[in-house]
Amino acid sequence: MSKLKVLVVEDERLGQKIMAKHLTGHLVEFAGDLAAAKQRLDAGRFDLCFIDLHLGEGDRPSGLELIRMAAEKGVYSVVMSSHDTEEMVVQAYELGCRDFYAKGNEQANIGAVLSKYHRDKAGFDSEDIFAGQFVTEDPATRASILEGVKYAASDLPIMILGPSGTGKTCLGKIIHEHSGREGEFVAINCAAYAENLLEAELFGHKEGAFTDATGSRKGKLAQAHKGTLFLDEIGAMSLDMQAKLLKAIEERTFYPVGSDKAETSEFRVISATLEDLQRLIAQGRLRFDFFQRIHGLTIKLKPLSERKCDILPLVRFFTRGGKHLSISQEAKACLLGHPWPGNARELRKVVELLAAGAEGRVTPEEVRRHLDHSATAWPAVPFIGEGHYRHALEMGLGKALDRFAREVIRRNLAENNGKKTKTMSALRISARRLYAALKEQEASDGIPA
Amino acid sequence: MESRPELNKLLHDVQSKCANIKSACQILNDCPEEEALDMLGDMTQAARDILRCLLELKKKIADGKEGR
Repeated sequence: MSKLKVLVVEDERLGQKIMAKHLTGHLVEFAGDLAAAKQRLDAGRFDLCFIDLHLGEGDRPSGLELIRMAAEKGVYSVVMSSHDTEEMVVQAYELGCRDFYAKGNEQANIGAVLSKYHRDKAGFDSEDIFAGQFVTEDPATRASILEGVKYAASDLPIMILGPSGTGKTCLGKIIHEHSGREGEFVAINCAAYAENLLEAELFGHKEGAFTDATGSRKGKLAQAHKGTLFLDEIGAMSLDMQAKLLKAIEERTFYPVGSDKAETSEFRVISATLEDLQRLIAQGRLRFDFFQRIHGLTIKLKPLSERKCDILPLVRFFTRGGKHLSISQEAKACLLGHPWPGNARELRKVVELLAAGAEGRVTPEEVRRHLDHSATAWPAVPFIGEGHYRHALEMGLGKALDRFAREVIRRNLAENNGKKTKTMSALRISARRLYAALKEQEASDGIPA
Repeated sequence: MESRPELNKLLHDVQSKCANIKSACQILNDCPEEEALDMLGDMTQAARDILRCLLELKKKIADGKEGR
C-alpha cells in the first residue's frame, strides 16, 4: 500500500498515540485543537483526515467545522467519536464525512477505513470484474458478486454456495483482492486430503511429526496471516478437524502438528461448499458452533444451466487471445442446450478441445462429440439428483427409468427440432424404442406427443 | 436524571477516555517494552481523569438534587 498523508485531529495524548501506532508507515500529523487543525488543513495537502468531534473544554462538537473544510479541500474525512448519537452521525455525513466510527475498536476500524479509502481511490469498476475476473451477464449473479465485494473490506466470514465449477474460488479471490488485506489468498480443498494430512496442511508440522515429515513446514493458516483463508468443500472436513479449526479461528492461535509452541495468525475465512449446509448440520456432519463461526454473509452462485446467457460470453472469454473460432448457429444451439453439469469448468474444457481441434469453424457434430466425452469427465458431479432418487423410491426403479428415458428422448427431439432420425442417431436407439417412448409420453401427458 | 450540558460533557469525557484505554489494550502486546511502559503511563493518567470526571459528575448530580 502507498504511503498516505494523514491528519489526525485528537486532543488526547493517549488517543494520538493509538492512532500513530495504527497508522505506522504513513505520514501522520497531529492537531490537538480546532485552530491547529484548521491551520494544518489549510496549509497541507492530506489524503485522509481523522476527526474527533469534541475538542478542548467546550461542550460543542467543534470538530464538525472541520468536516466541511476537509471535504472542500478533497480530503477524505473520517469521524471518530465516542458520542455517536444518530443526529450527530447524520449531521457529519451531511457535512461531507466519508466514514464514521465509534472509538474503542481502532484495531478493526482503522484497517477498514484504509481499505475503503484505497478502494474508493482505485475507482472500483464493476465492469472490470465482469469483463475479466468473473464473466457473467446474468443480473442475479452480478448482484451476488457485487454483494460479496461490498463486504470485502470487513472481517465478516463469507460462505459461498454453489455446484462445482460455478466460480466459488474465483469469487473468493475477487473478494480478497478488494479487501485491502496485505496478506495472501490461500486456498485449500478440504476434500482433497485425508484427515491427518489435512491437519498438517492447515496447521503445518514440525520435523519428525510423522513418518514423512522430513522437515518443518508452514501450514495454510500461517500462510494466510493478514490475508484470506479459502476453505473449499468445507462439508468434507471431519468433526474433529472442525473443532480444531474453530479453536484456531476464535483464538487466532494454533499448534503445528508435533509442536508444543503456539503460533498466531490473523486471517479472514471464506468457505465454499456445494452441499446443503442445513442438511449437513441435521446429519451431524457439520458442527453448529463451527457453522456459526464460518457463516456470515452467504452468497449463492447459480449453475450454468440456470444462466444460459453466460455460455456464449464465456466461450468468447475462453478463446480470448487464442484461436478465433467461428461457431455455427447450430453449434451454438448445441452449446446452449447442454446442461453443463460441470458448469464453467466443463465449458472451458470443451472450448479448449474445440479450439485445439477445429479448423476455425466449429460444427455441431464436433460440439456433440466433445460434449459426449465431457459427460464422463466429471465423476465428481452426482449422476442423479436428489429429485430423481426420491422419485425412484416413490414410484419404483422401473417406472423411474422409463420416465428418465422419455425425458431424455423428448429433450433431444426438441434440440433437434423434432427430427427423429437425428435423435435415434444421437441416442443410439431404435425407431421402435423412440416411438414406444413417444407413445408412453402421450399417455402420460394425455396429449399427442 | 435530567440531561444538562455540563453533565453531558463529563459523560462524553468518560466515554472517550474509556474507549482510548480499550483501544490501547488492543495494541499493548505489540509494543516494545519501552513504548508499552509509556503507553501504560498515559493509560494510567486517562484512568485518573476518568475517576476525576466521575467524582465531579457525582458532585454535580448531588448538588442538583439538593438545589431542587
